[in-house]
Amino acid sequence: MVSHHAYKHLLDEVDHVLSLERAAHTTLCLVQDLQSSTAQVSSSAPAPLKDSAALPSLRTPLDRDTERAQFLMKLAPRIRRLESDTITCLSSRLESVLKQLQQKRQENDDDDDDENENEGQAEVRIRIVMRTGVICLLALTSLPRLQELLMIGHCMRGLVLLGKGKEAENVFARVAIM
Amino acid sequence: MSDKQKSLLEELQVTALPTTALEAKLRTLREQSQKHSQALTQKLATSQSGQNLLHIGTSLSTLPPDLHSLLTQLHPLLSATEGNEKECYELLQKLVACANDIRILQRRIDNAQECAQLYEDLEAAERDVKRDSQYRRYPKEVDFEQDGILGTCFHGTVYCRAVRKQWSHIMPTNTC
Repeated sequence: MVSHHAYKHLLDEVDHVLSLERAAHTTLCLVQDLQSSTAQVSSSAPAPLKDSAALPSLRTPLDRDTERAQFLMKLAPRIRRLESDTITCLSSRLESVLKQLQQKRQENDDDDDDENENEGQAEVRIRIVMRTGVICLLALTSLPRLQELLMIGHCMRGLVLLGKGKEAENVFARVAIM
Repeated sequence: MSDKQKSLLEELQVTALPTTALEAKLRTLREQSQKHSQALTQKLATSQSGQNLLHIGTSLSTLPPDLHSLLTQLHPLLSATEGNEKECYELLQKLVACANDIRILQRRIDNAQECAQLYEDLEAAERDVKRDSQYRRYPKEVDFEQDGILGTCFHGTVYCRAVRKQWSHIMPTNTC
């Protein structure tokens, strides 16, 4: 049975990993904005020619504005650092969760060997299928493992969002080798 | 004898006539002219096209005597119209310039709001990542509720609440 304190701690951990996935979302948006801003500033498209005979009109488009793009470009170092830090955090978190799972499974296996009485308890099977860059996590588990699967999902989605699906695969491989 | 020679001969005969004969010939010619004029008027009156011609004739009689006087009379009106058009154009230019200033300011406001939102998101993400670093080093010293982990982002907050709600259904808090 899970105590209230332990339950709260589990929820906090899931929330925390969720915040990392959210950081990955934010990072992705910022990186895309930064790329479009860089393209906007670097492209020196000439202003459209104005017809001198035409009457002044409110429908005439305004001159190009790069204020927002320049603001984003000032933030470029922070955005790049955030991207790198987010990837590091997500990889580390994924690795630690996988290690926890592996450790718990080993403990369960040991208990099975010693007492041979917990045949119906939780069994975790995780397989990673990498097909055309899409990661599918196949897991069968009981409820106490749910928070770990949620955390793995958050981490993997975050990594894939940032184009680091291969990194997630490497983490799985590292933990499997251990 | 050709027509020219005939008309020349008639002119010589007329100049040779005495005054009384000339007066008689003038009367005859006037009567003939009046008779032809009456016949022409009758023909014009009996047809639609003729009536139109008669109407135009009276209108033409009311026109100014020549184009020069027409231009002279219209010149002040044309000058006033040109001046008015120039004033209207200047007013339109000022109006469009003011409106464009407003459009530019509105665009700056929108940009500023977007930039503020972006910066807020960036700071929130940096805070989350920094918290993770601290959590990995000192897991027991991080207090999620004090750090406001659920309030860093609107979408995240909504999502966190949804997850907590699902969890509370699965694992009620009274399972102590």
